[in-house]
Amino acid sequence: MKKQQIIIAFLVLLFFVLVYFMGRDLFTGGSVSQVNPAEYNIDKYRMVDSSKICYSEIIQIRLLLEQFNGICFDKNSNLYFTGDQEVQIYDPQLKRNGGFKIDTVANCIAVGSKNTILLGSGAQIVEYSMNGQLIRKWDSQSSEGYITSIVQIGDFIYAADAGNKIVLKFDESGKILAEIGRKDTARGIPGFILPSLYFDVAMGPGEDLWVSNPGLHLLQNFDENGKLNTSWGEASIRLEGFAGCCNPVDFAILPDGSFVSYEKGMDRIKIYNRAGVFECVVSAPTTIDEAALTNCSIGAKVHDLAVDAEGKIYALDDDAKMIRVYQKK
Amino acid sequence: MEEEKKLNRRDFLASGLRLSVALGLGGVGIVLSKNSLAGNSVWQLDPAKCVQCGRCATNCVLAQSAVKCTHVYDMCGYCDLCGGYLRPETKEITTAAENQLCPTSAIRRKFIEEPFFEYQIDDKLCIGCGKCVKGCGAFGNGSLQLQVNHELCVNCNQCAIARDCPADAYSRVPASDPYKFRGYANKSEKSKSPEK
Repeated sequence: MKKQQIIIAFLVLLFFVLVYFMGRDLFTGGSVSQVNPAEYNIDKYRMVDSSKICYSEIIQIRLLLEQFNGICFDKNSNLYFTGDQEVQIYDPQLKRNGGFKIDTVANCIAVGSKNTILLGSGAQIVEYSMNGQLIRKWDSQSSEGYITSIVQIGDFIYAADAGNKIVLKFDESGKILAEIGRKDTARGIPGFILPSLYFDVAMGPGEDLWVSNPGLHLLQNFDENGKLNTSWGEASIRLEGFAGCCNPVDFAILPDGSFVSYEKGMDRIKIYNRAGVFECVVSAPTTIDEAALTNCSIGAKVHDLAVDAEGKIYALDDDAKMIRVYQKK
Repeated sequence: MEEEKKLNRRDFLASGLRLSVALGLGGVGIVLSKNSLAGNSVWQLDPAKCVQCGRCATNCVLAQSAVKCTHVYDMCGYCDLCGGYLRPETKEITTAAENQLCPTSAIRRKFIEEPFFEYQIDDKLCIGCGKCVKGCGAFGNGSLQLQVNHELCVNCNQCAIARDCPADAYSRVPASDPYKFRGYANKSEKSKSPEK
C-alpha cells in the first residue's frame, strides 16, 4: 500500500515538472542564446572625443517636404533649397522670402553669377530666374548623364556628371567647352571613381575648382583647362581619414579656404585646413542606430552641405528631414 | 390528415454524422485546392529587415546554415577599400588573413582593373554570420546581403531561424520567386558573378 502511494506521489510530481517545462517553452519561447559568436561591433568607430568637436549646432530648420535634394547660398547669404518639385528661398535671417514650383525633381542647386538659379535634373541643367521663370535648359554630354552638383566660377558653369563620371565645363549658353577629370595617365589624372551617385564640385577662395573623388577618397583641384593641380585625402576609418567605400560624399569650402567634408555610412562632418590636414569635427556620427547603419546603401540618403559668408555650416539631415546649422565654438 | 413525421434519435444522429462528414470533406477539398492554386512556398529573409544578429549562422537545423551571403553585383562599387571584406583598422589593403573581416575567409577578392576589385562569396565556406553584410551596409553600398540558399535549404515546415529571428525578417515566399534582394538585382534569380 505504501509502495503504491509513493509511486502515485512520484507520478504526480513528474506531471507537475512536465507541465512546468511545457508551460515555460510555450510562454517564454525557450531560452534562445542572445550571444552572437560573429559579433561585429562598430560602435567604437562612431565615438568621437568631445574635445575634437569644434562646432555647435545652433539652429534646426524643419521643412515640410518629402524629399530633400540640395542647398546653397548666394553671395548675399540668401539660402536656396530644393526638394520635392520646388525651390525655396530664405533671407539671411532664415525667413522665407521666395520660391517656386519646378517641373521635375532637381538633384542639386546653385546660384549663377548673373543671379539665376541653376538646377541639375537627371541629365539636364535647368536655369530659372529668381521669380521662377524658366530661362533655358540644356543637356549633359549624353543621356546617361546624371548631374549631382553645379558651381559657376566666373563665366563658366561646372557640373559634376556622375553618370558619365566627368566634370563638364559649360559657357553660359550651355555649350560644352571641356571635359574635366577623365582618366588620362599621361597627364596624371586617375579619373573619377564613383561607386555610388555622390559627386560634388565647389569653388575655392581663389575661384579655383575643387572636385570630390569619393572612390579614391580624395578632393582634387583642377584649373579651368582640366589640369590636375593638387589633391589630398586619405582612406581610413580613423577620424583624420575618409571611411568606407566612397567618401567624402559632399564637401564645401569655408571663406578662409578650409574644407568641410560630409561622409556617409558614419555620418560625420569634419573640418580640414587649406592643406587638407584634419582640424576638428563639426558633427559626430549620431547615436548608434542599427537601422541607420543599413542606410548607407546607394541613394538611401541625400547629403548636402553649404556655408554662408560668416562661416556657418548648413547640413541636410535626410533622416530627420531638417537642415542643421552649425557655428564655430 | 397525415400525421407529422417526428425525427427520432437514430435519424438525428445519422443526419448529423452525414453532415459532419460532408463538411469535413468539403473543408479538406477547399484547403487542398487553395494550396494547389497558391503553389509551393519557401522561406526567405528580407535584407531590408535583417539586423545581422548572427542567428542565421547558429539556428539552422543543418550542420552548416542554408543562409549564405549573396553578392548583388549591380549594387557593388567594386571598391578597393571594401567594408565587407576588410577589417576597419587594416593598415594595408591586402588579402592577408589578418586583414579579412570574414571569420572563415569565404570572400574572394579579385583584381579587375585599377582601382576595381571583385568580391565573390564561396558558399562552401560561408556560414551566414552576416559580419560582412554589416560591414558593407555600414561603410559601403549594401551589396552584400544574406539570403536563404534554396539549393541547400530543406524547407522545414517551421524554420528554426525564422522562429528566433529578432527582426521578423523571415516569411514564406513563392517557390517560383524565391529570392528577395534589395537594390537593383533581378529578383527572379540569384545574383551571379558578372561575365568575365
